[in-house]
Amino acid sequence: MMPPFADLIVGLASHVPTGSGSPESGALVSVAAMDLSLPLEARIAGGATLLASLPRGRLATGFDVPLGRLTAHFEVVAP
Amino acid sequence: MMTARAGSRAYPVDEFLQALTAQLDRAQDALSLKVSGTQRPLTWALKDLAIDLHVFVEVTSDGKVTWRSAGPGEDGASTVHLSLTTITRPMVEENSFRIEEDRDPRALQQITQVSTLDEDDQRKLAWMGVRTVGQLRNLDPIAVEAIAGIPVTRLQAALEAASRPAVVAQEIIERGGHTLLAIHGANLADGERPDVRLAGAPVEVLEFRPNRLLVQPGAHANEGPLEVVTRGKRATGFFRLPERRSNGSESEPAQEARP
Repeated sequence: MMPPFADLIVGLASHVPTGSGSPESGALVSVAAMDLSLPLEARIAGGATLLASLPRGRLATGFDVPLGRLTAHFEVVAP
Repeated sequence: MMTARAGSRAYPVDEFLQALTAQLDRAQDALSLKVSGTQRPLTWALKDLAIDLHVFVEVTSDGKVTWRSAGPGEDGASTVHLSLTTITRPMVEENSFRIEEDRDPRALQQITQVSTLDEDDQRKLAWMGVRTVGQLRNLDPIAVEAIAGIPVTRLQAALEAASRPAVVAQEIIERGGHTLLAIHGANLADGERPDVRLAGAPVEVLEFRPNRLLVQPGAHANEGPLEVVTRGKRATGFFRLPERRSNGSESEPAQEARP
């Protein structure tokens, strides 16, 4: 079952750290932005909801939908 | 034109975009929640997004543009490239239509009975973002003919119809122990106090605005024809007041006016 597009976005962003290190360790690296460009398996389902996931790669079959593309620009912000 | 396959349905583009923006809002909320849940000071915010989708673009018999996802092995699909970006609240407010500021918020369909605008004209106007009579009145008929192909004469006739007073609904209001009647509609006043008659008897007009009149019903019939005359133009409807009791009055929900 393909998940909603929102889940894919959250999954992509939330697994990337926004920084590393600490003042105590003497170095703090902070990420400012992230650009992603990925192939996308997408389908418009009930309620006009966009379902999307990354391609299945080696698990792909001949019955997969044609791949689209996702390009996203994230920035690190203070909520 | 519709070639719906099993398990693949076509959806109107506007519904799809609304669903997509709702999903993006939910995604941002989820990312923010993640921060508050973990006490981390920073989070990711999605600023720009572009998606390429393979869809079949179809037009329904009533003129709606729909998208249907291309299925496995289905050739000939279009590639739609959607670019979305973040907009701020001031930008939303600046570019959004505010219905409460519309001087005549009646839907265009409400004047089609008295105007010559047909369904095709209404569809063309909807594509231009014109949904209310107030928006129609702000248009230049010559420009509309050039852009949408609706003849100037037909638009002028519609504008003339739209400028006539119209009674749409009535509402009973209790104020200070008195039963008052609010008359809702369009063009009901134009700077001058209009004449209002309930069941043929003139009544006092307490407040008057183009879209609302407040009158003090007299001691006459509880229901009957309602007549508003403003600058020589006349609108009619039907009023009904609650049954009056000796110890006061009783209110009643708003009634649709009868044309």
